[in-house]
Amino acid sequence: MPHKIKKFLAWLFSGKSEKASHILILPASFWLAFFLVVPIMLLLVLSLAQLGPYGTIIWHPTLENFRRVFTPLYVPIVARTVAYCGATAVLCLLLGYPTAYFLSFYAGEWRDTFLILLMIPFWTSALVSIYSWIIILGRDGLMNSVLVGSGALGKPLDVLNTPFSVILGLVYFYLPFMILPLYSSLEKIPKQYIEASYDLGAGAFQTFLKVTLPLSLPGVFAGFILTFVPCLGDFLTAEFLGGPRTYLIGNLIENQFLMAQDWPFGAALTAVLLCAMLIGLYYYQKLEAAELAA
Amino acid sequence: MIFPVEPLLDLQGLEKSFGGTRVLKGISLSVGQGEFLTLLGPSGCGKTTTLRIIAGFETADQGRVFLSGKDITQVPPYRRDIHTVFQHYALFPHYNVFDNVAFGLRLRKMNEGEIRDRVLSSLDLVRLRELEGRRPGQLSGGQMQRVALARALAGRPPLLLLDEPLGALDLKLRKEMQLELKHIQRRLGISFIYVTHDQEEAMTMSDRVAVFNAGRIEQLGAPQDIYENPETAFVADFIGAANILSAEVLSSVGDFLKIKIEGSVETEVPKQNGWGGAQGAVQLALRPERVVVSADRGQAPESGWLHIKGALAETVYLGNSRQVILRATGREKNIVSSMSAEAFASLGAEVSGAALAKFRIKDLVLLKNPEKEA
Repeated sequence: MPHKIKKFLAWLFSGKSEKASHILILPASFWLAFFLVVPIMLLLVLSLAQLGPYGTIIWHPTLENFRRVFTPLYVPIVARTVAYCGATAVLCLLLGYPTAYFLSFYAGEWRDTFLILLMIPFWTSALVSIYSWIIILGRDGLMNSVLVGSGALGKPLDVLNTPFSVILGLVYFYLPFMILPLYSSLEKIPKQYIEASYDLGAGAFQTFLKVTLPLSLPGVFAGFILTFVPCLGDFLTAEFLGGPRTYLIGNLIENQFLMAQDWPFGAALTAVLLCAMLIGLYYYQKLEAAELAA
Repeated sequence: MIFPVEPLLDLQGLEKSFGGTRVLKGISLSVGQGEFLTLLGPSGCGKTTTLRIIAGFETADQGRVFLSGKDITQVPPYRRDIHTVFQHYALFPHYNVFDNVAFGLRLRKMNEGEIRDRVLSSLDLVRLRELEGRRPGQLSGGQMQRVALARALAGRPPLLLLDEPLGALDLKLRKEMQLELKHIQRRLGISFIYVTHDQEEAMTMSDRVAVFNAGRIEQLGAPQDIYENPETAFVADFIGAANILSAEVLSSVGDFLKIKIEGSVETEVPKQNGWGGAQGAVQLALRPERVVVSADRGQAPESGWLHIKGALAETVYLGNSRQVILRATGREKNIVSSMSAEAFASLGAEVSGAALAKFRIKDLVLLKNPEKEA
């Protein structure tokens, strides 16, 4: 018997049999099917249903929920979400590009240490980091204590629950998603291109403008998509660091499910958001494929 | 070489270490106007580091670099009137051929019409005018090489550096490009410093060759001079092949020196070509093409010839010639002979046992003892 098992394992990992490859991919396929594909299908079905009294669901197909998504009532929320996420992506780019440039050209032997430091907030629970920001930014928080205590300000600043605190939180959370693709695209630029530019008479800044920056544009684009797209669905940051005036699509969806008990409308909102994200990711994929082909 | 006027480039005592390893141990060198100088040597000998110091990508720990009499040791690469053709071409992938060639010209604030003329004439020089709109990714290796050359030449620098520019090309294309490079260099009258580890390439193209070994210049001279009169065993072996024979100077008799080769063959050599002061243990170089192998029938050497006895070990077919390897009696290293196909045929199958390596005394080259490490 052990002999047969051995033989089976050898066949399984030979990397040649198509059947073996199906068996190997089976567990993950089931996982994805049951916990991703099926829920999304349910969501899509739900988005076509109607809301009955007291949060009950009437299974009568309608497009009413989608019509509601595109009513003027929600335009300000959509516009705000796009604006906040755009601002987040741009700020991440402005902060992330110099950081990635530093990592790639100056960090030297400290590079891996810096990369790990960069990843630590990433591995920390989002709630923990959000509460840390509340502690720092609150009316009696660290920032105000220092500013008022040192006499720089007469009275504490109300920064919490403003667009500022929400965007700050978003930038904090999504910055690594910008830095890592930027860093990897800067790393991929052969040093010979930079030397060739110097050699032909371009100084450091000219070389940056004419060689380094254009060659890192795929990283800029990837970073933009990777910050902007997930930011669209964020609700935790706005929930804890924001207020009624910083209400985003994510919060709207959350409220449909948890407060308003209007699951069909929540599902329709989610479906539209998902579509928008997929379009973004599709262009990201296309760009990456083009880069690989070059 | 003595320059009637100031040399274009002058290197004085360059030293460079990387992480405690001494890569350059005092490189001094001058390059004349319109000269084609090759830095030749095995990998890790310091030739590329020397080139990078001239380009300005590295700074020497010690020593100075002068261009047209001006000290440029501390001048950054973008202010040096020197351009480089890189080993892997380093064409900017986001620019087309025209914009690559125009890159340096645009930085000089020339007007577009002037730039266009310059770019097209540079592309004409490498016969690639019709490809001006292509991206580097759409070019073959040979075409990229030409564009890299056109780009480096577009600014008409007095000095061009070439870092193994043909290394990635196949043999046939490499031969073609060698000749083409040489023609372009002659036509423009620009000085070339060319780095290669290919001794044949160095021989074909250069006015002078600097043979590098372990951070020093072992010998500097015209290709023929280096080939005919190698000064060290390293040079003799690296440039072409060589049999290195050990010998001992026994005595000096009038115009002749009495020497004993490989502890067995005694002979007299005339005191000339640097033989004058030789004494004690010396090394001799002997080119394989100057050695003839024949059957040993106990014959005495003809006048002016020497024989080394041995047994035939191996023959290697090389198409136009035949390499014959003789295991010499009482000697560790074999003696290699390179014979023409006809000479080998006339030797016939008779050489199966005892054989002789025959050579003229005048073909022996006395080597300077290799410099000891400081």
